[in-house]
Amino acid sequence: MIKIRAEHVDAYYGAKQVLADISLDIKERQITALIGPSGCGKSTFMRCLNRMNDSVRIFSLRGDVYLDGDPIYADTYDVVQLRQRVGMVFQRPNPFPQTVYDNVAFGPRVVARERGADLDSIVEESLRRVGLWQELRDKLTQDALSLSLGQQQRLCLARVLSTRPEVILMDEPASALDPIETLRIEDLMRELIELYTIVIVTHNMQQAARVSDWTAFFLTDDGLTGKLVEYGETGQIFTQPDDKRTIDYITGRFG
Amino acid sequence: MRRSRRTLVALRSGPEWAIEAIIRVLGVSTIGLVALIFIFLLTEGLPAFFEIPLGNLLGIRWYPTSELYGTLPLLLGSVLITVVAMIIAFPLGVCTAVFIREIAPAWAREILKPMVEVLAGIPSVVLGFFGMVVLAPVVREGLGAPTGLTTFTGALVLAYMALPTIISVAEDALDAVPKSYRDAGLAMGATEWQTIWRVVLPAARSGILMALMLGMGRAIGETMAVMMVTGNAARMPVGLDALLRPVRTMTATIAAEMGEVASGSTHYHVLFAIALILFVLVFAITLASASVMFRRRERGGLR
Ligand SMILES: Nc1ncnc2c1ncn2[C@@H]1O[C@H](COP(=O)(O)OP(=O)(O)O)[C@@H](O)[C@H]1O
Ligand SMILES: [Mg+2]
Repeated sequence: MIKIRAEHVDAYYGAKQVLADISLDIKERQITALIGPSGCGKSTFMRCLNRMNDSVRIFSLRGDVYLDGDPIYADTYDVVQLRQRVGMVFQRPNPFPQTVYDNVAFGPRVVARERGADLDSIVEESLRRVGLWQELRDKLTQDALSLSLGQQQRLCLARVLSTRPEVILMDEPASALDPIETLRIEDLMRELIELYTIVIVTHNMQQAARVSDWTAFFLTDDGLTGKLVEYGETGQIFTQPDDKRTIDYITGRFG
Repeated sequence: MRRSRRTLVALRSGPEWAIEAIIRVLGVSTIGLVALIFIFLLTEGLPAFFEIPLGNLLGIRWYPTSELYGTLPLLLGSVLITVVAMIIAFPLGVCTAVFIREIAPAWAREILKPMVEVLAGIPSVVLGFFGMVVLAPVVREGLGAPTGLTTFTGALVLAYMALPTIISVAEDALDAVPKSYRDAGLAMGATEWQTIWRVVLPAARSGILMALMLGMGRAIGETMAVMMVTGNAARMPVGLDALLRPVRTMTATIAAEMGEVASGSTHYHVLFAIALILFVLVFAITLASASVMFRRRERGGLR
């Protein structure tokens, strides 16, 4: 099953074209990794999938992105609903400067307008899913910024889960974390895959190899416009890629 | 640690040392000046507490010619007018800051920001004049007050004067909210409005509280405009109609009467006692806002 389909996506910041002709199918309940050197447009591509680029005034896009077959850039498409269905975890953990509870309750409360006991059970369930319930059940009223970075990042993941999304986008979610926390996030991803479709941007080749089912390799040949060089099953991309540039990148010859 | 610092000082070149010394002297002398003013207020104001009974001093009648020095109407006058001014100016100022910072397109922001600063530069006598000839008739006719020179008129003028402070401090507070919080809100499916209301404003709350307190400090110390538009009747501002009656503030009393009292007289000492009260009040407000700022720093800067 194809969850998200990108067709001939070109992306621009002002006159600067940063993505050219990206076509990519993201499979349901699988982990797709986007790899490539910095500045080749991985984040930009990812932010096309939940229309986070809408708030960048100079951004424009050509081509189409479909979620379950519906074009998300259609004029009538409901962006609020899109973002409930396609959640996002950022590179730096960014919990709100509020309590642990309020962080997780934010989506249900503000976006889905849940209240009371329902809210409590959503918070508990979301924290359980990311393995934070045991650690934080007595600290729900604590300021989220007092948590460790790893806990903060898992809290952000719980916050995303609270609105029961279908897809989770993760932009280098472990780059600010220590190795143990990194492994925890990776384990979590493998658990979450039963219910969710996950897209992850990562700089870390081992991470992509360890965690993902599919790998897309982005590259820019003029230092400006990113292109999709190769896309396939992770095992194949890492063992016998078709493109020489993929081999060079994976073996660390550039990037 | 200590040792390496000392070496550093020793290594410092001559001019740098001199500059540092000058800055230190200037800084210390500013603090010293404030202390001197306070001591001056104390020596001139404290005798009032010995010359007349406390009951009189805290009474509700201010008739210095009859030896009645009740400061309560003046104190309440200042507090009431300041509170009303803040009730008007605070929501307006915060909304304006939100508009400038979060909603207005870049070109509008470029125009609005300097305009707010110009607003801050209008002399208070000009605003007082405007209040007298424009606002007062409106209040008299529009709200049916016996006179246009009322608490409410004064509060309007004060609100206007406190606005620039509130707007620019609140705007700085909003500016300091990291983009990552906004991103998180939007990515959760919150609308721009929900993100501003539920994420950005709470994150900026201590800075916004500081805007309120600085605005309050600005309002309570204002003299000229207030004197021109409040009617200056030293009556107790109690009852439902207090807003639409004249009132007199502590600042206006000092300004109006200081020129006419004999130096060293009881009246003179009482005026200084009022100044002392004002000083303590403003100091308390400033201290409160400083502690908010301090807490904010402790919690990691950006809030
Ligand atoms: N908001 C923006 N405005 C202008 N240019 C941007 C913006 N965001 C990213 N870019 C540019 O787009 C290109 C791709 O960036 P990005 O998608 O962040 O790459 P990656 O995530 O692969 O490192 C870079 O050249 C970057 O400078
Ligand atoms: Mg990136």
